[in-house]
Amino acid sequence: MTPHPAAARRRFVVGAAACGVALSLLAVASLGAGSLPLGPGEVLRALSDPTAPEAHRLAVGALRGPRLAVAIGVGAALGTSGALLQAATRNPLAEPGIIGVNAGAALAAVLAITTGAAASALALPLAAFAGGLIAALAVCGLAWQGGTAPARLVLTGVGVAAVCSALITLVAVFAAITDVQRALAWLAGSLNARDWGDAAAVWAQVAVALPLAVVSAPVLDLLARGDDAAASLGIAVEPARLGIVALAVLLAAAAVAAAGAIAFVGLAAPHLARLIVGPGAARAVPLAALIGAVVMAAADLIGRRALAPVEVPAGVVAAILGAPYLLWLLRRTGVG
Amino acid sequence: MADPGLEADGLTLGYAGEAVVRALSARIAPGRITALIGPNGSGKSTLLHGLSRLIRPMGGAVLLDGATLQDQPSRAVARRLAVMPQRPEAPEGLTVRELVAQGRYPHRGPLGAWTAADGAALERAMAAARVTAFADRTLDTLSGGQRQRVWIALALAQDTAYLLLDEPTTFLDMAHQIEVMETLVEANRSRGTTIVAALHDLNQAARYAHDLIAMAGGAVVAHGPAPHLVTAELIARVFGVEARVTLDPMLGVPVCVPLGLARPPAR
Repeated sequence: MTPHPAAARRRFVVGAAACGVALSLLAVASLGAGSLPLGPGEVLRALSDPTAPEAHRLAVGALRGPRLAVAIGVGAALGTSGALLQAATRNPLAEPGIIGVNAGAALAAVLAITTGAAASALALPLAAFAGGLIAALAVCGLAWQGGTAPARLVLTGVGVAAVCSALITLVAVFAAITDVQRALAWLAGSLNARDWGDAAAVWAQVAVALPLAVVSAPVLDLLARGDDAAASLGIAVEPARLGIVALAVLLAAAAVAAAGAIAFVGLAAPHLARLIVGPGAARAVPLAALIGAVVMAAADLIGRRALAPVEVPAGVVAAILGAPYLLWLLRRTGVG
Repeated sequence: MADPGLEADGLTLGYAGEAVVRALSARIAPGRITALIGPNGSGKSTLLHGLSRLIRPMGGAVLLDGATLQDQPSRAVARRLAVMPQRPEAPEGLTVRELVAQGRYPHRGPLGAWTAADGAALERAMAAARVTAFADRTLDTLSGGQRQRVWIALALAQDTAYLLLDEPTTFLDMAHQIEVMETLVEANRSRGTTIVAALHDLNQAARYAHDLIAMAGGAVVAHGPAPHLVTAELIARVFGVEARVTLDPMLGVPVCVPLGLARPPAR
């Protein structure tokens, strides 16, 4: 055990417990909400009792369950990814979108939709995943000049994202309007009609990447102090940073493949985590994952209920509710 | 067998292809305190960066323990040599203990397990730099002098034979400067740590260092024990300052009183 300050450890336990409680409440509410409303008792019975009404078990197990699982997995992936990127680039504004993942995934998804390649259910997430990886590779490749200065990485990401969104607009101008509509809905980050396969894909990547991220916490803490500080303590800075960025890119690509482009969560979850437990990555990274999960589960629930029966995509809800909250928090605490 | 020490061999260093230090050769005597002196831009910081493997030589080499520094893994180097940069940074909210603990990183295993030996080294380093009293406070609540001692504790926690410091006293008041220098002298005396520090104050350098390396224009002008090295002629040559140098009768240490800028021919 490294000498973690007792106060921060206590805040981590409290924060993690609060997230756990919030997730449980959100889960019961989310599994109960919909055109067939179920109370908490009915939800729990549908989950545990095989003699529960078939309609209840179908609604909870096959329709709302996977959707909730995807929301939690995507939120955890985005929170972890953002925490990794903010440490590796020493930029508090870094988020998965900044290294081009969201933009590349969006472009690939829009192309897949408008060319008809996304006809099968599996093709769209695969295209998004590949697009995100390719864009991130392009960003890292373009930013590489014998090393990846964090500022250059971020600015290159902004440039690549701009090119991608210009191409998306170009495609949208020429594509059939129904395709454009479908693409826009995907871009907004909706969790509608997800199945257990989607959930398993994103959960598998979180299950691998989150422990890796926690194990590399000492490296993250050193990189956060600057390249020279990290190097003088024995870190091979470039391989370490590339490894961490690769982990973050995989997580972000998994998230975007499962839920479309979701902004803000990857930026805000690590911020909130650090406000609670301080900058130490061993605590801030797992807490960022938990907070991301809570935010996504809440955003999806709100999006489904706010204008029911019309559904607001979770990505839109996350941005509308979350961004002002983050701005308020930054002003209040003076965190820069 | 004599300790081969830390040596610059025909070392050329620079940034973006522009040489700042040119074909410099010097050997840092093990077990001693060496002060780098010279005006701004004379290459002191650059030399420290080169000696600590933070920049790659454009020519020549740095030898640590007789082997080329660049060929040694960064972790192995970090166990032999610690650096304190001129303006170290830390994210807000980190406690002193957490920060100093980072000095143990090069000694930790592949999974980074924290051992009792790490804990002992951490406490030793905090005691030596006298930061134990505020170990659980965060860095942003400390004064400049306290903060500087935290950075020294971080370097000491690395438990290295060599400690390189870039202007450790520049932004401190006189009492805190003395405190920092005495911490370094104590580390040198009790642990045998070889210390190389870039210092701005010539009198301070002469007072605490065994050896001085005077630099100008990226080259060594003079290198040797402090009492013999500091002369009015050297000060005129290195700093372009006319000064009177006397020997302190009690300490036998040269004391320099600047009189004014030297006339142009002296440069």
